[in-house]
Amino acid sequence: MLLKNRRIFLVEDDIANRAIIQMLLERNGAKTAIERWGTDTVPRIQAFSPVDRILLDLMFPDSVSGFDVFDEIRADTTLANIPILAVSAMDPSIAIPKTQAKGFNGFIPKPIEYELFVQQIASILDGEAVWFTGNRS
Amino acid sequence: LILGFSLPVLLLLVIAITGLASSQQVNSSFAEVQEDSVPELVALDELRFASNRIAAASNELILEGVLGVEAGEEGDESELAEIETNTALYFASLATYRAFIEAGAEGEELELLSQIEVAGQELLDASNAMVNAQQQGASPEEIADLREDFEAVEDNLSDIATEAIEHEQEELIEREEDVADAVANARNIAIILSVVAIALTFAFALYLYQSIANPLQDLESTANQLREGNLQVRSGIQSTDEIGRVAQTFDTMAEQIGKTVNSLEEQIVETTRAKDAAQRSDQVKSAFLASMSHELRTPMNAVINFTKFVAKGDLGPVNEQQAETLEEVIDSAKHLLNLINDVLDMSKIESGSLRLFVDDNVDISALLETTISTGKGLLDGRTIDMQTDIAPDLPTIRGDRQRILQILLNIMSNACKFTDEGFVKTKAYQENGNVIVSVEDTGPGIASEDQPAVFEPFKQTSSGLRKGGGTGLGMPIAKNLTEAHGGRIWIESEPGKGATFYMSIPVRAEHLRATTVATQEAV
Repeated sequence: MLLKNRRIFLVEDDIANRAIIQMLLERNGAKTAIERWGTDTVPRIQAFSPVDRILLDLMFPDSVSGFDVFDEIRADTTLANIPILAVSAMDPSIAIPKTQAKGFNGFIPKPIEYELFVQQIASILDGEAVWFTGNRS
Repeated sequence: LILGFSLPVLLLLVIAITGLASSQQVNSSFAEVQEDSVPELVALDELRFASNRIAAASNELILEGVLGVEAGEEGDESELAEIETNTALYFASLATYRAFIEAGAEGEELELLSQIEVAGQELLDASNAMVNAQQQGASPEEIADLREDFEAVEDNLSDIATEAIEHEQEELIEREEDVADAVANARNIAIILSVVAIALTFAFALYLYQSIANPLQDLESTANQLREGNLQVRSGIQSTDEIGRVAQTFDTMAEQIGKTVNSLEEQIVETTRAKDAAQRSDQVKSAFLASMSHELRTPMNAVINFTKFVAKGDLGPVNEQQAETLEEVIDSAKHLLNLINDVLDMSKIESGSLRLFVDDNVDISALLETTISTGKGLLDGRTIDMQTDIAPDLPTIRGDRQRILQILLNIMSNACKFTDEGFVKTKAYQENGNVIVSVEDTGPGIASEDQPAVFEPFKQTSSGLRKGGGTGLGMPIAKNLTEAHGGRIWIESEPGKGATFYMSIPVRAEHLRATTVATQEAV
């Protein structure tokens, strides 16, 4: 149980991705909460406190982007120190420099690696940065 | 201008000719004066001399008679001969004098001539009378009377001759003065002409200044304005001389430059517009690719991971056959994901939006290990000897770890895909600042005419097509990624003798700069 009792907040609009990530995290002992649209994130995170990590999708169907949500979270002093990880299907060669510049604590590309994902989240929780460009085989 | 130049030249010629003419005139005047006056004076002098001699001879004759000196026949004879000779001389010189007088007759001179003629005749007459009286034995009283008359006549003639000589001398002086005047005149004319020539030359210089220097200054200022970018400026000089022609040529040139610059400016505007359009198009393409990448990968996440959940039995028990079938689904989904990634990579390469994550210390040995183990996984039970000859001291290199792995995997999967038996040998070594990796196989090999197509997108060789699978993008992507690292990729192969693919990448590519945070190595 790599993630036992860890509290992880997920911002993800795609229902299938949400289900997969939630399933993987909870099967490894984590507690999760979700915000779908990226529009009501800060109060929901506050409601779920204390939060260990935030997983943030970067692209939403409407005009709000993960980067805007990142700014909102960082603007709230009570949430400013929570590490934030981008989990996105965005092209890593574009997304990684952007998220690095923005101050994210890591990037995990979609599709996520079933065997790898939980380890990556655990590394993040141990204070490491994870910048993963994807796997090819 | 030729006219302008010829004017002072003509004037100088006129001055020279005038000078020559006046000097000739002066010379001829002197000659004339000498011809005219000197013989006239000589004639008059002779005339006076002859009359004196006549008088002297007559007197002598008379005196001998009066004094009763016995001179004998001979004495008389010599005096008489003298008188006769001098009478002849008298007439001769008189004739000469008359000839001169009549040539250039003047009232005063004619008067003098007639006076001389009268007085001379009187002298001759008196001399004759006296000589005759003497010879006929006249009384001394009579002879004395005759002598008195004779002396009076002689004085008279002498006076008149003297007067004539004086007159001639005056005339000579006058003529000399005339000549001097003529010389002075000639000099004055020369001075006036010189002054006129100088004035004309000065005027011509002014004209030249006006017609050369002014237009040249205009032309210069026009050229300066043109240089400063005023393309509308023209000299506007319309004269037909040389300067005018130069100015008109200049204006034509300025016109041409203006046209050229305008057309260049139009071309620049056009090029800029085209470039902007191309940039916009590139931006649209990049945005489309980014969005496409996201939209294609998002459902793949669900397909692969949900299938995994089911296959792993997370959602309830599955039998072996179901699990195997689900693994097939996962493999196909991953293959589809790879194709999607390849197509997106190729599109990024072709739109120029490919970006590298540069790391200063990429461990190429570790990447080769991953590559070889992936290659082994691709053999599917074929008995192929996976040989390695990797130098132990390979340096870490500057580059994009994931992209270099992608290059190596593409080469390796190619070799493994086309080799049915034999070996696949991976070699790596450092040479001249480059790391060189070669992958040799014992596959069918590639004919040299087919080799370039291997690196062209969407062009698989006939054997490649037969083998199936792949997009035909693996090697073109590998080539582009290698070149993006400042390296190169090539094949050595003959049909039936296998193929060797080479990749050479600089250890420290100068054009690459490390991206801030190292990316996690793929497992």
